Amino acid sequence: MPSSEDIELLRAVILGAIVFLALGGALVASVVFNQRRRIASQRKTLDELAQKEQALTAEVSERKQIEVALRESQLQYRNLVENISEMYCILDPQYNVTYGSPNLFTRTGYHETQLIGTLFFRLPDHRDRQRVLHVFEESTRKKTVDTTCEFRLQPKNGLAFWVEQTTRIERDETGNVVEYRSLLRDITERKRAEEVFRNLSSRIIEAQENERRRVARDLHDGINQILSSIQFRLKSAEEKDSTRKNPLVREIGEARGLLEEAIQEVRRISQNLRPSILDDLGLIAAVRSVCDEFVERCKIQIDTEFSGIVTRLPDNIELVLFRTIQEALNNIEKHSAATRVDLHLVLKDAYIEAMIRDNGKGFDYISLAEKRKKRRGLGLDGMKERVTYLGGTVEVTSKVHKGTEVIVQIPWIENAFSKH
Amino acid sequence: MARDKSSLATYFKNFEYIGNRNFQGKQHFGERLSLFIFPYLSLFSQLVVVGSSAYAVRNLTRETRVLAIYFAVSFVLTVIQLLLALNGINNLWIYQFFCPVQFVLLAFVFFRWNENSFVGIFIRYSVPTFVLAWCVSAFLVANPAATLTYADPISAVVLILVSSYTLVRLDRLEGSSVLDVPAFWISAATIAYFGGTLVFSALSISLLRASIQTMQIAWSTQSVVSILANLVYAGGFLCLRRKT
Repeated sequence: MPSSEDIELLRAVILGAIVFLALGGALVASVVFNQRRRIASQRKTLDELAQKEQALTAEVSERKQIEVALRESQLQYRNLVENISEMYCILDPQYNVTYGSPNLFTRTGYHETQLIGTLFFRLPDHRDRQRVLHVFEESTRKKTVDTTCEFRLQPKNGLAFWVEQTTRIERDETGNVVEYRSLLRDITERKRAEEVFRNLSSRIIEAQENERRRVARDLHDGINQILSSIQFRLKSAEEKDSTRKNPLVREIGEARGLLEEAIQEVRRISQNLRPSILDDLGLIAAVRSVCDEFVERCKIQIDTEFSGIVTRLPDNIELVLFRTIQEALNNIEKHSAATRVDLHLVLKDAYIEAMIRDNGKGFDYISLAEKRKKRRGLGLDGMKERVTYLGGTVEVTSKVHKGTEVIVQIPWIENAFSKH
Repeated sequence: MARDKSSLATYFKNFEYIGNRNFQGKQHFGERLSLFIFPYLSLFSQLVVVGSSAYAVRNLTRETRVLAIYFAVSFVLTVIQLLLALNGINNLWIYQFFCPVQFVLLAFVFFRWNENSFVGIFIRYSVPTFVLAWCVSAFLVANPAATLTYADPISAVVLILVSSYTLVRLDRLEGSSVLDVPAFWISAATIAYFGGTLVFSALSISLLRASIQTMQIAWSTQSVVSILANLVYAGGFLCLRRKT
């Protein structure tokens, strides 16, 4: 039997062996465990990376497709821009030309190097330059997306021609302008056609006025004179029987009364056709006369204000304004059921303005426009036609039960004299 | 370690000790040897290591090639020791002289695996120091053929520390599994084997005075540790083959 010392010794041997085995085993297990854990973590990371890579690859692929589509789109866009008859240009926020289609250089006569990087406003004719700049600045300020203006484009050599510029204003997220994309269309032919049309309208109106004048004169000088003569003779015949007991004389007296009415009617028609007062005393006197007649006839109060008109205006302006006011008053009489009318006739710096406002029942402008499509002949069209012929504008605003306001503006410094 | 040197050497020492007490050592040895199945199994396990290194010979790196040589030499020396012991001839000197060789070879391998760390520097300076100390101890202080030196436990401590450090470094290994790295298997086996050696060295004096039965059990224990260590060493070679 082994002694207790031997047992202790064996215990120490076995314990020592176990300690070192355990030490080695623990180290090994620790290393393996750590590495397994790290590998699992790395695998997870790799899986995530793989997923991300897959997503990224898909995104890249999608982007590539988009890029290809974009390139194709740009190519098509460029082809389109470079082959259309219109001129196309892109301006930076400071209005410098950054791109121009070949047509722009061809039509303006400038070389690409002479236009790119320079101000766009060298292209509009000096007469329109400020106006075009104003349009751009206003559109930018008002955050407009698209804006259109017409101006004369002055090429490097040769005559100016009319263009219609349609501009798309590109902005960033904050609303700041990134660039202006402008399409310039030659509208010279259209402008010529408009001029021809205006001249034609002018001649028609002129012929109409001449005809009215002639008919008015004929009525006044011809028929009215005859009627007056007949009345004079009837009066003489009537006076021969002072007792007036003869039935024939009584008949003559009644006929003379009717004849007087006919004379007055002919005179009124004659005045309407061509008021001689307009020719003789001018616009303000004629308008006052019309207003007086209107008040007497319709029993509607009119407040008038005439301002700034100290001399006679050109005939065509006087006539157009007179006719417009006359037409407006006719409409008030026929349709408005108004009790009060305000009429202002004001000469301002660059134009003359007539404003006729009533407190009548008004109308729905849209439904009226629909009716006008079906049935022409209401006075508004005539008004507009006459005013437009002089380069002016007519603005009609009306609301149901809120009355109607007509504002006519006619430029008189430039247009009125130059055209006629 | 492939060679079951501790058990055999200590056994032989015990045999000498018994002989000095006028026992018929050879007869005693033969009688008791038949009881020791584990030392023989340990010897067989060395053969497994050598076979594994031969199996993976085409895949051996410089370090594992040095290890393969070491295990082959160790196996041969163990066989010689066994034969000497069976014939009643003192075999302790073989073990004593093999001790510095073993340390140098293993130190070289671990130096290669830890070249760029402070352990590499430590090994570089510890090898000549150890050899010098062994020479002084073996030739000037004690008779290597008759007395155990302190070189064995010292080399065991150094190699355990270096192996542990190698394992700790492997803990930070990226890219591949540690199971595919020979350094992992070799370090693990070195800790186990030299742990056993250290225990035996520390208790050798007491064991020499213990009964034969106690020695048998102790040696068997040490042999079991050696067998385990040798199997792990074999894994160090086989992993090279598996990796390819």
